[in-house]
Amino acid sequence: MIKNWKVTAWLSSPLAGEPPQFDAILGWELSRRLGYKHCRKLTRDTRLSDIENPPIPLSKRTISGVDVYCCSAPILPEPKAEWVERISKRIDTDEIALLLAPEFRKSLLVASGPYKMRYVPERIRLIDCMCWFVRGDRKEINKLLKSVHALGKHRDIGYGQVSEWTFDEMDEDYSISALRQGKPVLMKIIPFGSECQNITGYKHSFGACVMPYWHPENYMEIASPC
Amino acid sequence: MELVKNCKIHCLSEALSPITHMMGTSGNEAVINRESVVYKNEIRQVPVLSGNAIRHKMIRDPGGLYLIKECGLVGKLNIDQANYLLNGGSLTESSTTENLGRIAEMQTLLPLTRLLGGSLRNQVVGGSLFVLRGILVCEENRSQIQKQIPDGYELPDQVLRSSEDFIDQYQYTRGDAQKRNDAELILEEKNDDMKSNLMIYNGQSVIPGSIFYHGFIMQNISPVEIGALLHSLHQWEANGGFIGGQSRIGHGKLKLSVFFEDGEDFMGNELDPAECVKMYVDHVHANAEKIVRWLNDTFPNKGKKTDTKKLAEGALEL
Repeated sequence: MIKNWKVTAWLSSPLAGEPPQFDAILGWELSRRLGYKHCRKLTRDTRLSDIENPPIPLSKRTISGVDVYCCSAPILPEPKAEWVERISKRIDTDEIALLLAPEFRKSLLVASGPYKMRYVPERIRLIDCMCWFVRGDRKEINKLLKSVHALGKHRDIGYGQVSEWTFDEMDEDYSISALRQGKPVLMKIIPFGSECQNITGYKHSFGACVMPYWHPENYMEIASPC
Repeated sequence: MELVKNCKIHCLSEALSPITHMMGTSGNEAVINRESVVYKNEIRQVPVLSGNAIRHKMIRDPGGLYLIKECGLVGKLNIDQANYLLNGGSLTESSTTENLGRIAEMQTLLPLTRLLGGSLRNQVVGGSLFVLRGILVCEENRSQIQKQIPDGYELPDQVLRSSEDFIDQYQYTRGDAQKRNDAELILEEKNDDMKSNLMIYNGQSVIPGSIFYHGFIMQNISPVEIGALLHSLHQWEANGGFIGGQSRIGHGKLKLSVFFEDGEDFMGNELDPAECVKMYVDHVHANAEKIVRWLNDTFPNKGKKTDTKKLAEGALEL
């Protein structure tokens, strides 16, 4: 049944990078289950008109001619601690020297190029949860979220581990905007247009407001909550 | 390919020697890797084994070396092949197309790389393995561990020791040939005016007997991939089971205990870990030639070849 929910992800390890949009999480998981990711790999060069978006169990609303899902941007508590972690990668040259064929045992440039050693800084935040206000079908959302074990960047090395997903029913729909001191405050990235005139708490920017958020074809003038 | 739903492996690793998984230096002292943890509304810095280190040392490195050995590739690899098998590869070419056939072939032939993912020359292929960080079993981490261990298991009610109780110091000396008693005998010329290289170095370590909780989560994988993971862990243990720095002097030795959760296939049949490992070993033996062919097709030798005859002559002269 379609209702308003506050969905909370309880984390058991620190979050790396930026938190994800809720529709992107569901879209990722559903496309994995439906096999979309296996029949075609989506890259920046793929035309979005050629692919089908997975039918995620969230309501949609048309804003400035664009259909956006009813889910707020991620809401994070103030981090209890914040630091920069270094993610390192290097070729173990002493290990591989004898494994290589003799003609390839030559000096290797490791300061730049394909074999460059990395020591990349990554923003890490110690938070215990993050939440989204959504309008959708709890049962179907929960089915998808059960397989989402981690959020954010570097999930493969243990960051952003989710220990539990919880749902709280809400009386009002806060997925797009919420009232604060009688004034509507923007809760989600939406296309910049006439709808923004009555809303506060946003910055005018350029980016995507629908998934996939990283795809250049989705880029437009947007109002981003701040 | 036979698929398993999801699988979680819980691990407890006991330190058998000082663990020196470092994060940098403070003055001339090496400091161990720590992360911030909230404990009773305070931030504490608690030692941690990074997921990056566990992933490389316990899985990719031993697993890659096993493949190289079993496929008869020792001394026959090119740099891109070695980089792919032991470090996950690098994106070195741009491409507007994704070769799904090549990815499918890789996922069929190399269960280990399907698990870990990696970069072919012009396409990045995601993996299905999530490595959990190694968190120290101490009072500060109690709530984090309790959230992650399987249902029905609980930490003891007694207060665990604080993380600071598990941290110690080590100190060693680097020698200098000029300072040896027999220096005059072994050196052609002893120079007393030269600055000495004798150096005392020290740092922090996690004491032997400490226990780290970590684990692996695998999504949509086949039994042969579970076998690849467990086999890599066996290989790592068989090679000493070291993690972190200073393993040359015995630091970083861990004793691993594994607990298998949700090891069922889609039919609800329980999977036997030993059977999964056997399936993986048989798979590698049966497909060794195909693996070599795939590696040669995907990472062909490029550029001007070195004159091997000249190289051999040069080596003889040396």
